[in-house]
Amino acid sequence: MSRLAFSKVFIFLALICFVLTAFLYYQRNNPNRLAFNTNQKLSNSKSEIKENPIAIIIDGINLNLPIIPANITNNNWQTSNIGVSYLSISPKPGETGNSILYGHNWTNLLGNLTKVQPGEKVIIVYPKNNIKNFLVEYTQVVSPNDISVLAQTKDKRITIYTCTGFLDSKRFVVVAKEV
Amino acid sequence: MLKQVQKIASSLLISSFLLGVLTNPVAAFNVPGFPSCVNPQGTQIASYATGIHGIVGSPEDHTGADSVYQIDSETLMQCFCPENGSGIQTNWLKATSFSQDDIDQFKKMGWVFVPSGAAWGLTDDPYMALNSDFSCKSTGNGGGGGSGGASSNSESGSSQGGVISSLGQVLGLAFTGNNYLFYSLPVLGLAFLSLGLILRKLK
Repeated sequence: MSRLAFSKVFIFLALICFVLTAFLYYQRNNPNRLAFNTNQKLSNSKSEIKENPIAIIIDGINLNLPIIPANITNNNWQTSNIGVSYLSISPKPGETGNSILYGHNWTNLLGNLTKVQPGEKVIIVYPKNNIKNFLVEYTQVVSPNDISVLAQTKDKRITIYTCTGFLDSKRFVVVAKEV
Repeated sequence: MLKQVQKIASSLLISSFLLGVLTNPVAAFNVPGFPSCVNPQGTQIASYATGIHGIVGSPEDHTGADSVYQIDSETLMQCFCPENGSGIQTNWLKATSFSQDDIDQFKKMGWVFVPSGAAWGLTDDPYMALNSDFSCKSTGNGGGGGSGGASSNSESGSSQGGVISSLGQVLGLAFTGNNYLFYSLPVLGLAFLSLGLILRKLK
């Protein structure tokens, strides 16, 4: 009886593990997780730089990743499994305004972003090896509701964010300004 | 025995979900959202490149840059950036119309009641204040300077035609940062399943 009971317990625990795995997988691939409230009035920024950025380098955390332009389609924010997403409707890095870059907090992506400190150098690479240098000014953990971090600015800055906290309930935001 | 273990397992599961809910307490009233000091909003009403400043709820004096932004008639935000870069954001909420129950609820969420804002350079009204941390590169121009420096009337402008212009919610990136968790869960599940099946077949 006792053996059978333990057998059922183990099978029950296995079931929990599989359900949690399925939940994680769903979360990992759910594009809606990146969306803003659907009733947003979105507009494109006028871009002076014609080419899109192609890579981001933060030596302090050994980060060197491709930048993938991302759009919002049917209120789904495109994400990338191989690089950092650049929200195409925000200004290009180096232009006046707030350029939005975001990515999963996976180990191979922005998992180490939380180690970035103010004063750290961020390099945005454009085609033909043109680069723009930025210095990290601020980092902060904010609520997912705090959309002020994405608001446009009059300076030239990039805002990079990823998830952090219990059950990814917070956002870790890095703001760097061009130097 | 089995029922007891199942009860324990169920309790653990429910507890973990409740924990998730409780770590994000929901007030019976609406707590207004505050912008972040990494990109302050509103009108800058005070800015000190350096000096000794008080932080509500903290008995000692703090030296560094300090900026205060009026968000609307009821809310302000203070961005303090010390030389060591461990910034403190203080959200100020006017509590003129708050009942004692409201104040108690805010206190439970970590807010500090300030009977009069006059001592803090604000209006002579009661306020609730909440501190949070951020990191900054002390440049001597105040915490945020969201619009290219801490000039007066700086509005980094949530309505400046860019990405967003009204309230919304940044829904999360996938909850998948922990690869160890992601890959170990199914392995653990298989291990449990194997154990369960083996125990069942054992005679």
